Amino acid sequence: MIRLPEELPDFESLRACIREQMPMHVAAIGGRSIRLDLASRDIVLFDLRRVLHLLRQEFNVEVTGLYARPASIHKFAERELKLKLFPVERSGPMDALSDDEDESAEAATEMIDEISARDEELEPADLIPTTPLDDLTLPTDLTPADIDDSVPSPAPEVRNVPSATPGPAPAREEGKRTQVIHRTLRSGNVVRFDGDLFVFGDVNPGAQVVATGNITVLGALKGMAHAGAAGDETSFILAFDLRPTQLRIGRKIAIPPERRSGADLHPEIAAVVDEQIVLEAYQGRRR
Amino acid sequence: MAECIVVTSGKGGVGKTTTSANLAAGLALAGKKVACVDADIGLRNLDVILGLENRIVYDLVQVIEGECRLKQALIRDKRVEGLYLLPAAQTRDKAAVKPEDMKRLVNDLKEDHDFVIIDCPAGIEQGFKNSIAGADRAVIVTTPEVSAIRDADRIIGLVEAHDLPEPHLIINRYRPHMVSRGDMMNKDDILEILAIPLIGMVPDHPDIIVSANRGQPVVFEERSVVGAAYRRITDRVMGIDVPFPSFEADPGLWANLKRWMGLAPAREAV
Repeated sequence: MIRLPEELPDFESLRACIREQMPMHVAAIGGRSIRLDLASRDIVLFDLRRVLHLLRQEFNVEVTGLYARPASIHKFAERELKLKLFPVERSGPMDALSDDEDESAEAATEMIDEISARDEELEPADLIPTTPLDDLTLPTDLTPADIDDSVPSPAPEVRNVPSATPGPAPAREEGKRTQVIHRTLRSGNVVRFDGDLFVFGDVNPGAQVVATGNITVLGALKGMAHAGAAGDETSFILAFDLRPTQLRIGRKIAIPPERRSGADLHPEIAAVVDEQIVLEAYQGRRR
Repeated sequence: MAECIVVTSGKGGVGKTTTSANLAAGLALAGKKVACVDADIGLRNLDVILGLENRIVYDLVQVIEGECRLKQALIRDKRVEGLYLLPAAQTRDKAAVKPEDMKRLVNDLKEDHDFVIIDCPAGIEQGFKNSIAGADRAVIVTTPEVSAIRDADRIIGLVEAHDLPEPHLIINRYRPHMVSRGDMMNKDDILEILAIPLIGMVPDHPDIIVSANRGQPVVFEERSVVGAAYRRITDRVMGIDVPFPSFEADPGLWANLKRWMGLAPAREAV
């Protein structure tokens, strides 16, 4: 275990400190995974990233976890740095941590910065142990030219939507988590969640809701919604007023026909039927 | 030889995006292959003005970060041959892009387009620096207002400091009847301050608002006065010498202008 002085004026001195101490321990932990204990210190995301880089590049040490007070670390760190966070409530100097992994402790000074203005993403984390959505990138073979903008308008009667049949894409297991959002999402807001998503509010044009499961908007959906974002095309998108700029379910993309606001308002559901995203009136008995 | 033109102004709300959209669409109408790039990351608008918002799948930041290929992010406009849009990201900000990235991107776009039009964000910070990085020349948009002209003057200085050739000027929202009453700065007052070549004057006209709401650039409107003004600008950008219309000598055009103004003294010179 390596201890670093509590008060270090800047990143340069922190780095110097690590460089001075690490060589003595490299024999023991070089090439292995460690966890980092920030104890009571605050570190800015940028410096934390530099520390991780330094350890990886110069000492071949991979940091996989981080002990920190919940308030002292930026809430996006977990996803950004692909680290596991271990909330530490105590604020004294760290105790020796014994785990299956070896450990080392680092610390840094500086104030925590809330970059939230820079990164407008709403992270629903905090209360719920969210796992980072690494696989949430769109397939690379989609082009806007492939977009089918001739989505059929609401069908007169409720069609049978296939229930969760295990296809080529991984079907969601029962008991997935649900995230509830109690606000209107405005242009530029993004919500990503591994599970089902409920929005009590509107999703305005320019906002995005992305979920690996189903998306339900108890309001008007006018932005972009992507359900089954990890590839599950049995997911659906449901909204009281479904007028999105674009809909995506799994790998399918659709642009619903333009509709006037207020005209014939009723809940609608979008799902993949016969390899195509179809909108239909929601009558409460989807099976 | 492809050319990259940045549309900028310094001040916000003078019509950069409208000008970019119409210039790009006008060049495409003239048979050129045009890519227009929305550099206003975080506050994208060009896609809305062009009516292509719902077809965005990938954006400029994703191209730069290597998440997708450039070809995938380019949205082809179905109304006119040869018009492509590279949309901005709405969920990021200007810091997501660096001038070198833009330079590389513009060079890639220039390989298979005749023109690359960059819609610059307002301001003189990161967004402006990104936009100007890959440009071969600049078009400055201003309105006949002291504040807009002040900002335009500042921008001209910055453009020249970037080793770009002398920029061209478009005067937007010109109201001949106010000018004739002496309530608005006239063309010569503006040119005296800015002292750069004028390549277009666009009258203030409801058509602009209607077209923006419909997502249909006004340059497509054969009969619109504003559409005609943008078509002349397009020609001048392509190096064709189009005389500035003497509005007095063209009663047809005036009649149009008068109709929306309600009335207009006949002696106004534009």
